[in-house]
Amino acid sequence: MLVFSFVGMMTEEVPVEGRTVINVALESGVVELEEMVVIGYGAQPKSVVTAAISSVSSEDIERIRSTRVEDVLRGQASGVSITQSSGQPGSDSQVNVRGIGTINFGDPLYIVDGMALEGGLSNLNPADIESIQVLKDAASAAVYGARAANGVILITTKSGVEGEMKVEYDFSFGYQNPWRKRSVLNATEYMVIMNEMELNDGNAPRYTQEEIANAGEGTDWQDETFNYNAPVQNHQINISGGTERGTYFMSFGYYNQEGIVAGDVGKSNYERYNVRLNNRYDVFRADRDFLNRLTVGINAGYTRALSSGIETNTEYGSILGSALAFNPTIPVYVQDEETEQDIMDRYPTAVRDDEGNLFSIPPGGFQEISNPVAMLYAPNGNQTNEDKIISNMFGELELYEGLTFRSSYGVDLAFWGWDAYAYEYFTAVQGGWNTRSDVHSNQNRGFKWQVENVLTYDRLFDDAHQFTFMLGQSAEKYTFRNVGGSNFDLLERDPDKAVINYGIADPDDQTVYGGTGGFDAQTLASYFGRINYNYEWKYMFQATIRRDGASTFGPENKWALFPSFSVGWAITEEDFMADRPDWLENIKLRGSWGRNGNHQIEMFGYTSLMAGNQNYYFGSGDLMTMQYGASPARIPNPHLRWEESEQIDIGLEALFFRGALSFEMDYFRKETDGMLMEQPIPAYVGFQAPLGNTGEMLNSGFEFALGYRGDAGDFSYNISANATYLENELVDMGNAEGEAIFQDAGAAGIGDFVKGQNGMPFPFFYGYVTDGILQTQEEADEYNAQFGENARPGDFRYVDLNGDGSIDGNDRTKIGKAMPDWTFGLRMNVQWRNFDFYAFFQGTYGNDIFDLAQRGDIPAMNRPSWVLDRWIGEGTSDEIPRVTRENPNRNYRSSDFYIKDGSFVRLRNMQIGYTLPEHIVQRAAINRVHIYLMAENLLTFTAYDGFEPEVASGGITTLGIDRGVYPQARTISLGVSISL
Amino acid sequence: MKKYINLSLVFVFLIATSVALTGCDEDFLTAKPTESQAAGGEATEGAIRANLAAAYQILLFDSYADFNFNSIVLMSDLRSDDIYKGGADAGDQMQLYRLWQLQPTPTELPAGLWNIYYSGLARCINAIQACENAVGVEESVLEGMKAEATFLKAYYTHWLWKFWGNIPYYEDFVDQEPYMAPQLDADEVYEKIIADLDDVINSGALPMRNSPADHGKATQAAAKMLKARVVMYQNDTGRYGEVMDDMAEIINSQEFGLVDDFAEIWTREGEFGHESIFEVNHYPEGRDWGAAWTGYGTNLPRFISPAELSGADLLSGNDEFVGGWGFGPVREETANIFESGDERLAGSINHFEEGAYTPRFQDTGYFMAKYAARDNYADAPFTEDLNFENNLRLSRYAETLLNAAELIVMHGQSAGGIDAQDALDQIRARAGLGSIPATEENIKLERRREFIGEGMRFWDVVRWGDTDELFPADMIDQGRTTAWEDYMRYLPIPESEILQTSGEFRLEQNPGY
Repeated sequence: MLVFSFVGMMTEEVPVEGRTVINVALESGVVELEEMVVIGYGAQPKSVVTAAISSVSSEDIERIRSTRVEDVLRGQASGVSITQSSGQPGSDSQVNVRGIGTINFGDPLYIVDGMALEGGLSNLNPADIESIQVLKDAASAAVYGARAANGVILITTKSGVEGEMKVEYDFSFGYQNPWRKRSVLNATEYMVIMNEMELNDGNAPRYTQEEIANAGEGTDWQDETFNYNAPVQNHQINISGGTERGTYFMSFGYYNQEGIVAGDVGKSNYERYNVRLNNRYDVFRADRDFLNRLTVGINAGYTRALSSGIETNTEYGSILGSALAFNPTIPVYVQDEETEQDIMDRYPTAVRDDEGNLFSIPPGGFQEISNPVAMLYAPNGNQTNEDKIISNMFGELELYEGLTFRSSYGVDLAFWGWDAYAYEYFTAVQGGWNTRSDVHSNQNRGFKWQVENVLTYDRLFDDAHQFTFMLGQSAEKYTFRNVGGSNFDLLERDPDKAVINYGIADPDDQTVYGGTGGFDAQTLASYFGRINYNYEWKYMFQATIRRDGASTFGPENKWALFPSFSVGWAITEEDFMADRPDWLENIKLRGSWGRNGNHQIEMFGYTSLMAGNQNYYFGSGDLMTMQYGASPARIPNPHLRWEESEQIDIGLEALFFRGALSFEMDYFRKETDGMLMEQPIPAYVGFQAPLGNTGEMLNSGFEFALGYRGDAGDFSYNISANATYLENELVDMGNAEGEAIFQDAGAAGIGDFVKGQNGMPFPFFYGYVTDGILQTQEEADEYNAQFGENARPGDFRYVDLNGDGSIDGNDRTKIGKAMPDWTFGLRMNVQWRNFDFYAFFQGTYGNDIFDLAQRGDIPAMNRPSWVLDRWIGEGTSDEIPRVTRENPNRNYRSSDFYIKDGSFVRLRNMQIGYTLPEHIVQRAAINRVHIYLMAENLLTFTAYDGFEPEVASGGITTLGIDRGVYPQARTISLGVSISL
Repeated sequence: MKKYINLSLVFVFLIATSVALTGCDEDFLTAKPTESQAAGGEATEGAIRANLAAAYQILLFDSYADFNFNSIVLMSDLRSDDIYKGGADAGDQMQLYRLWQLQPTPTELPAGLWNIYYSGLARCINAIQACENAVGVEESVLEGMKAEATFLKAYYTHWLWKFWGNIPYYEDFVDQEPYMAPQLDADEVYEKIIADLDDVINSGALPMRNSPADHGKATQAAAKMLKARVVMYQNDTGRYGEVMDDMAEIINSQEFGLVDDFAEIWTREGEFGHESIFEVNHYPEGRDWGAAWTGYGTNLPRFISPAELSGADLLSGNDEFVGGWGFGPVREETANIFESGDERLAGSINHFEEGAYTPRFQDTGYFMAKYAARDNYADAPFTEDLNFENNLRLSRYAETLLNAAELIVMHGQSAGGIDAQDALDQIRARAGLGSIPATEENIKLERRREFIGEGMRFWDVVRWGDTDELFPADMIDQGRTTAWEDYMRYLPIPESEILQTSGEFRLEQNPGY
């Protein structure tokens, strides 16, 4: 019996059986161990990685078949929290690595093939991605220094492999539908509630009993608004291959998605084209000690994206917000000629559908809320266009054995613009009308170049001391310019002709603007070095240092230095562990400490500039002229510097049962210091306060990852799961109050409701605490007498938290938070003969939703069905107050009444596939045909009754606020992959 | 072999060059602003004019001030006995309800005014400093610009003083640690305002009235009228003589006169009319939600007009009015103070029949008319709600006449041959009314009738000591339940401001709060 073993390979036992030559191919099944991990300016075998890095492999990426990179990451990597902002095609997500690191710009840094990405991930086609690494701890991210404080996400695109040309084609087509409707009052219920509201206030009822009896269900505005069976399709062609002198990978992707709201009228659509060409050539290879190899290559990607969108997630008259809140007793279309005539007399531009049917208009009291179908058909539109080229060229010269010099030059050139128009129309008296046709257009160009030079020396001494030294330099410069304008009075009512040149407004009314974003360039210059050392794959050490200079830093603090260290100990490599049981394959302990920065701070905060355009018109009548105005913008702070985060990480990695079971766990504590905040000075100084590095944030948590792969007969399967527990605390807001309000809805009667405060998670929902409902007149009298309030039976009993005998703003407190305590993902893959099955669950626990389904200032709005469980007399409800318009107790102010549990588990993706038998397809000269049926968002388990438990709308402080969010679709699609 | 080495050398050379070209020195890391000048330094006439325009710009912000709805005339009137708060319900703009109740709190008050008028003060100081750093500007032009900036400085400070009394005050930038300024008591602030106004008036740098091309700029008459308001609110009898002289000078200059048709003053055609002494020049453009510190329009007309209006005003028969948000409904009793035939009733108040609009909180059917939303007055490319063009008439010649009548009858002043009875008669004749005796009572009543909706009444009641009038039964019923105490003349200083101060600069809250 011979035992063959090699690090990273499965151990094979082969009986000798008298042979003299034995060829053994060691199985590389244990990819967890052998896997190379990209670490930024290099790669390392996973077994010697000393930092906390989450990886998503191309296998996982292909499996989930997402069209956006955020979706690939969501639930797949521990330590990364991703909340999709809405179901609108092309919409992005809120991405946070290891918690909310700052109250300012806190997105992670994205590096694609060595280039830092400008403007987010939307342009990248996941089908082009080979692997994604999330550098979570300070030690792994430290090589990116001043940009790394909020985590780094490294993306490597695919390259060809030596061998025959491979052609792959993948096509899928699906239908999308809303996965649920929100239950709201139907017409009969609505009338009952409205009447009750009036009666409660001592007014005459709005509707007669006869009207109520004949009302029926009324209009289901959600049904009328949703675009059922919205199509989505995806095409992807890859061609790759190579010779020993060079490899190539080219791909073309096309993706087209219609939105489940307004997609059928062209107002919520997304279309994307991707082209990629990754090449790599050995210019020469020579068999000697020095100058023995020169490799050059170029990775280039081009993306074109066109998108249109409707306003989402606002309580002020969005289409979906209106579908929830509009009056169900009103029909979609005007029913009789008399009403039609009356509307046309008053609002000649009221909206009609394509057949000329006139849409109903809102009755009084609905403010911005209007007929959502009329809004769909209103003659207005917008489209965003985007063209982006990212290209990185490199040359790599092997100077001497183990000594490599790599130089690269990359560019990121993006053009994007926005076009919008509106003709005259009327849908609502407040905000829903346009009396003069208008057209707007702008074009932007951003250009970045990056030069990097890196010298790497890799050497194994005495078969035991493995050293890697890396020294590098990097410089980048970003410039921006834009131009745009508006015109009015379009000559024809034809959306194709809604261009600026076709408006004939007086030149005084036309506008034009343009510039460079206020700066001539943004620059970053850096020097960095790293040492990796390991002794017999047993003890590992890594040290990194980076020095960054940035144009955003003040002259007193131009350069920043960021160090980090990490160590690892593979316990199972120790001699005393040699006799460990069979099931224990490997255990590694690691720890790291480091400091990183966030250089995305306001430009010119260190100097005093004049803010312009503070203009004033002098003169009357025809003599009126505008005088340009300017005054100092902000009090300068020449000491302004980066935000800084310091992080420790302790990790444990283990493999059992010959690598079939893997386990990984991390604890981290990350402290952000010098968080940029306006200095705590009184507003009476009259100018904007200077910025200062005063805030402090703390994130800590645990991350777990577990994987198992196995087989039984024809079955093979693997299951992997990850979970992240996170605690966040805003240690110091950095201002004198130690708190600040981030969201309020004063006009909606709710008041302040999102706040940041020292010693609390950031941000949190803020409001009053209710203690049930006042059940009787005696209870109400007692309450009113005690607190000087004006409540009636059926109103909320608010808690006098500070015990000062009155219910006022000081009694508000934390009533919930939008960031989950736990985020988790679970995926499983099963193969049985030619069939395959894939399921991916993802979820959160411990997060709240602020359900802004009630606007206190619109008593006539429709309400969710739970209002039927309202208080209607003693003992009827202790949770939902009576309906009232007068609302003397201000029942609609921000309180725990609005807070709902937002925890959910979602079957994000499920696929059943079948691979056609080889003997059949090969007759057609095809290698492989795989057919699959895929369901996205098939099941969602949540206690929340709104459209969607996943709610974000740009920015941390709007996370979890549901104003009628555009829900994510449930998509069923059929696809086929063909390999030639 | 040699080829490979050559290739390698070329590669290394190219890299070395590119590194040299990108030399990472301080120059590379210094970004230059492209859309703004650096502050400080020598000022050309153009720069001073720009600084001055920025100081004027503050005048545009009150109706949607620092993201608050804080129209200066409405904020003044809310505490009077002319109007209710209105809006959707009591909690809609709660701070305005508290103001109306005469129960503002350190966290519920029109704090937007505090912020914009202090910005005004700082911008005026900036403009004055620019005048001091002027290069190549003709002396008389420079004097004029400095007088304008000083006038605006006094104007902004006077609102802070009237609303808050004991306020932090400075005459130089507060741009050094600890970023705080001393708090003066109200009487000290008063002296500062008077000193600035006397500087403007005595310099004689401003014309009594501007030519149409300069409409909107400060004038000698505007400075004198502001001084009259400040002195009379302070009840500073020692300066009544000066103020009486000022009134006489304005009247005798014959630059101003009453407009025949009272209702026309408030229309587009009535802007910068014969009667206008100081006016804010609004223009329907540029103001947007979330960007309240830009743009030229006003929100006030939308704010105070009835919700979802359709139908004509019953008092004037005028049907050009359009809907709004229903704030500031007028008490029915306010409409009843007019004698029959008084043209000012229809010019000042609108009355709509039931069903012509959606009634909101504290509805009476009566609304303020002077700044009511009119069709086509918000002809803006976007955000019509915030972009009405109605100029704010801050000072009218009618006030000059009524000031003179008051000073003569109630305080025994005389100057320039001005006759109190004649002044009162002019006011009444224009309203279509005959003469009544120029008694204290009649002058006060006439002043109330003349200025409804112009932010005058509350301040008059306070300075006359007639605060009992602020508590009619219907207002008490609606929630104005506390009795007047003298501390109420000042609002509480915003709590957020107090928290930002410390040590010797710690702001002291106004008494009573």
